[in-house]
Amino acid sequence: MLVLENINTYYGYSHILHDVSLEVKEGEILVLLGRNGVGKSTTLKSIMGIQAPKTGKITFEGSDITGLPPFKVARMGISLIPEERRVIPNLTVLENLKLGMLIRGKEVNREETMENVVFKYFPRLKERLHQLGGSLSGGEQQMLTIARALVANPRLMMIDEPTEGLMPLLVDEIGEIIKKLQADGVTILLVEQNYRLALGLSEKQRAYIMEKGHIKMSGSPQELQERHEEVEHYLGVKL
Amino acid sequence: MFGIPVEVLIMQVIFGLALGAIYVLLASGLSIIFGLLDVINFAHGTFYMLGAYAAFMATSLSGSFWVGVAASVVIVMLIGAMTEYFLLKPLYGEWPFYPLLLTFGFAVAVPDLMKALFGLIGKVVEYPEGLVGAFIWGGVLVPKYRLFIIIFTAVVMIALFLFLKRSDLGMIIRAATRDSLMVNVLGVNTSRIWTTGFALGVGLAALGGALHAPMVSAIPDMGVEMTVESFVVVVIGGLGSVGGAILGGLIIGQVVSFVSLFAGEYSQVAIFFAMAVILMVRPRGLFGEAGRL
Repeated sequence: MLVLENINTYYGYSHILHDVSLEVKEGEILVLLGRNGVGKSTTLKSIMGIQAPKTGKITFEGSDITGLPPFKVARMGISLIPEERRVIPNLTVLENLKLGMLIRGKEVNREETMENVVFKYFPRLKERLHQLGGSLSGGEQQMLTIARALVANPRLMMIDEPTEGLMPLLVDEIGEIIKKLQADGVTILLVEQNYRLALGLSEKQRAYIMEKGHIKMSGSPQELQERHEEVEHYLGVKL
Repeated sequence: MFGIPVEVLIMQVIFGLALGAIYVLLASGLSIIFGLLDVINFAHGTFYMLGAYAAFMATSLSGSFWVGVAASVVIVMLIGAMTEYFLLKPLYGEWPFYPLLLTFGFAVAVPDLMKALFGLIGKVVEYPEGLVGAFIWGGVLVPKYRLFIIIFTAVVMIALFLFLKRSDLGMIIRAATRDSLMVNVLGVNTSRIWTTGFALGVGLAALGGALHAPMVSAIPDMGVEMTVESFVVVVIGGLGSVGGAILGGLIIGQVVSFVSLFAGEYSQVAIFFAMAVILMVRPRGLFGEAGRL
C-alpha cells in the first residue's frame, strides 16, 4: 500500500534518514520502534510531505507522492496524528472535527459522521463539543486528534506516539481504539515507545526497528521476540 | 464641561466614532494579515490610499458612489491577492524580515507611482446624494455622512464576525492563524488561504479608504500616517485580535476627536500617549493573545 524506497531526509545540513526503505501492507498495523531521535517522527513527516526527502521515492497505492505538499498527501487518503497532538486550541471540539471533515467536501453528511464515527469511537467527546480545543485534558486532546483524523476517512493513519504522557488507564484505551480502527479497515503506521502495547495489538502486525536514521530489523512480534537480544540492544530496554 | 455645551461634546463623540470606524476597518484588516501570515504589513496605508483612488476613478466612471466603493474593494482585493501571490509568497521561509521589507518598499514606491500618474493634488470624491450636510436631532448637529460611516462599519464588522465564526472559510482562517501546518496536514491548501486572508485584510483597508475619501480627498501620501495609526490601534487592541482592533479603533477615534477639540496640534501625540498608557497597564494590548480571533 505504502512503499518507501531508499529515502534520505535532511534538516538543513544534518542528514536524518539514511536510505530508509519500508513497506506498509493494506490492513496491517506497522509499528516503528527505536530510541528517541532515531528518525521515527521524521519518517512520518517525510511521508506526509512536511519534511520532504532529498532522494528516494515514496509511493502510495501505486502513485508517486514523493515531495507532494501535506494537503495533497492528505487528499490521497493519508492522515497524520502528530506527536504534539496539535488540537487547534482556539476552535471548539466540533470545529476541530469539522476541519477534519472538510477534505471530503460536499459528499460528507456532517451530522451522520458525528453520530456514526465520532461518538461511536469517542462517546466522551459528545459532552465536550462546544468547549474550546485548548481547554481539553491531554487524554481528551488525543481522542480529539484521532477523531479528527478519522472523520477524513483515511485509508492509512499515521499515529505518532499516541500514549506519550497519558495515564495508564488511557494508554489501554488508546490501544483498544487502534485495534478497533484496524478492525474497521484502516491501515495503521504507528510510532510508539510503549513496546508492550505496540507489539501486542493484533495478529496482523509487523514492526521495523530504527537506529540513527537507518532501518535495522523488521519482523512480526514473534520474530522480534525470538531475536530479543538484538532488539533489546537497539531499543535499550528489556522487551 | 469646561464651559463647552453638551451638544458640542456629543457631536465630538460622533466625529470620533466616524474616525474610529475608519481605524476599525484598517486595523481589523491589519490584524487578520498579521495573525494569519505573521507579516507586518507596512503597506496597509498604501492599500487604504489605493482604495480611495480606486473609489475616485470608479465613482467618476460610473457616476455612482456606491458602485465606486464596491469596485474599489474588489480592485484592491485583486491587487492584494496578486501582491501576496507574486511578491510575498516567494519570501516565506526566508529571512523573516524580507516580507516586512517588501511591504515597506511597496509603501514607498506605490505612492510615488500614484504621484506620477495622478499628480500631487488631491482627487475629490463627492459625497453620495442624500448624505450631504447634517440634520439636527435633539439640539445636536449630526453630520449625515459620518453617521452613515458609523452604521455601515458596524454592519461590516458584524458581517466579518459572522463570516469568521460561522462559515467554513472563516473557520479555516481562524485555525490557520494558530496552526497553519496542521491545517495543511488536514488537507487544506493553506497557501491559498494566505492569499485570501491578505486580500481580505487589504480589502478592509480599501473600504476604509473609499469611505474616507469624500471627507479627506484622495492624495498619494494619505496612507503614511494611516499605517502608523493602524499599528497603534492594533497594538492597543492586541496583535492578531479583530475584537481588539475594534475596541482600539474606537478608543483612538475618541482620543483624536477630543484632543482636537481642545488642542488640535497635539492630536497625533495623544495617540501615542494613549498607547503608552494602555501598554503600561496591559503590555500585550487589551485583547492580547488570549483573545486572538
